[in-house]
Amino acid sequence: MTDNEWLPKDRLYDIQSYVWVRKDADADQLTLGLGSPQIASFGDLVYLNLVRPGSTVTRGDVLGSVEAAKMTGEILSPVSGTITDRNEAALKNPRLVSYDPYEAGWLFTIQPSSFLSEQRQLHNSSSLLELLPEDLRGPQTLQ
Amino acid sequence: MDPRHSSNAANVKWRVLYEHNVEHDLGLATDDALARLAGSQSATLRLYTYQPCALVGRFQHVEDQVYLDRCRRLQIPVNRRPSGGGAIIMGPDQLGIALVLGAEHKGLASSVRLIQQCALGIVNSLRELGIEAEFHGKNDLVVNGRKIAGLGLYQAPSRATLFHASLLLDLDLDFMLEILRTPFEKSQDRGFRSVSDRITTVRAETGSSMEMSDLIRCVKGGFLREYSARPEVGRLSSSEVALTAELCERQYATEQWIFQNSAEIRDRMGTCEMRTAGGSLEVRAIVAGETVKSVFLNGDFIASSNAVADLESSLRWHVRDEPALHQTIQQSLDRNNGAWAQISAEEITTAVIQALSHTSVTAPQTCFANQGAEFG
Repeated sequence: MTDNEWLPKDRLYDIQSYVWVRKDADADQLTLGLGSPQIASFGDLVYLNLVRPGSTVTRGDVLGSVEAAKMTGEILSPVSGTITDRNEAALKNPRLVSYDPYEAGWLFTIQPSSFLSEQRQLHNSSSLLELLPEDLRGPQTLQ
Repeated sequence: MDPRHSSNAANVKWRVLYEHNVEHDLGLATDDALARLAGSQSATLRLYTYQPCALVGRFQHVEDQVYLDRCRRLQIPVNRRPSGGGAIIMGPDQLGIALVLGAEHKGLASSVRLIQQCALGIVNSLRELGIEAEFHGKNDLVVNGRKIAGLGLYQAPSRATLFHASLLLDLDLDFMLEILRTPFEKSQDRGFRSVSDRITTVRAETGSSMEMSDLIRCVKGGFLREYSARPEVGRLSSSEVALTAELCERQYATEQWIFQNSAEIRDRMGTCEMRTAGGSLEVRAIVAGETVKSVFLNGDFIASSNAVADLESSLRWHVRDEPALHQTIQQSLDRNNGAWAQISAEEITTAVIQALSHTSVTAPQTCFANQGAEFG
């Protein structure tokens, strides 16, 4: 796995939750998902719940929770807005998130309400990599 | 990074809290509040006992795990932990251990072996009593293949880590089987290894009538020694008290929390019986979506207890994929070369796959029924 596969460069990341944010080119909405560092901490996901579309959230709110091989935990929203869709396939098969976190394992789309200001609190892949604990900087943690 | 060698662990005082006879909702809310409000470099060790209750894991379906009618009749409350794992009973002879570590314990918060590291405190404590325990599978602490403690981890929104454990000083098995559903009850009359063969306790291992207060002293010392921490006997802060009360009212005392079925995936159980050259083989498998949570083996085939325990442990939280299952089973048999008589990895794989292909809901996943022992 390359650095770009570990933390793709085409999106932003939240340092608190390791949730990634991708601005869709042809829409105003954002797509959200769990980044590899968080999945490395959790381990393979087995149970997953996600808030329903239509939910209004603010940055830092809980978007869902997981039980994984290593621990349970919450998924925190990196941005404020209204959830427009959630990945039903991931709900039925949470391992999708573990195995393909940046594509098939996406979690939500959201209509952001304060993205212009909130994106300044997010990191690109390079700056996140520098801030990560040493053992979350690459795929060796997935062993 | 090993937390025992991190500068944080060595330099931070550990606050130690004690409580006895705590109500279920208050006990859980306290742990949660400690995690949510944990200072970035803080460490709190809470040692406590509950009033008798049943606690299910974060995503379990209560009705699948607990005989609710009996709980009501016996006035045994049921609640849900924020941490994962199986259903347990708690009471005066089960020690609740909560270790809350702030987010700045980075070596802890991100470690892939975090739960094993946290478990070292208990391992060290038990060693003082002459009990050699080891971490096994996903979240078990076992003594000669028998489970003595169940472990779980929860990462709070603060990114603090809550390590949860229940350590058995003693256990009333009849009471547990009256309250909790287990995968074994229907086969007990056919000699299926019972829950009692899979569990041990501190009193059983030491052959003593040790008191809970002595165990608490031992566990406190074990954790502090293991992590070179300095104890600071403390109490809850006013903000922790307030948040505990709020979480109790808003979450842990509500039916919405306790009886939630928040995951799309529900545990299912399937069985398979087959004849092999080495004897009969019965497989009982519990699956959640694409994850095999547990596999239990029984029959009159010949195998050592440790070999069966190793195989059952290897298959816990395994991906539901036939080639991968076969590889894991083969590896376990290879590790225990000679411990299996006239039964092959192919036969066991076939039985597991067949069990997985005929499942139904209501698959009890009792915390203290997950380890194999005393076989053949």
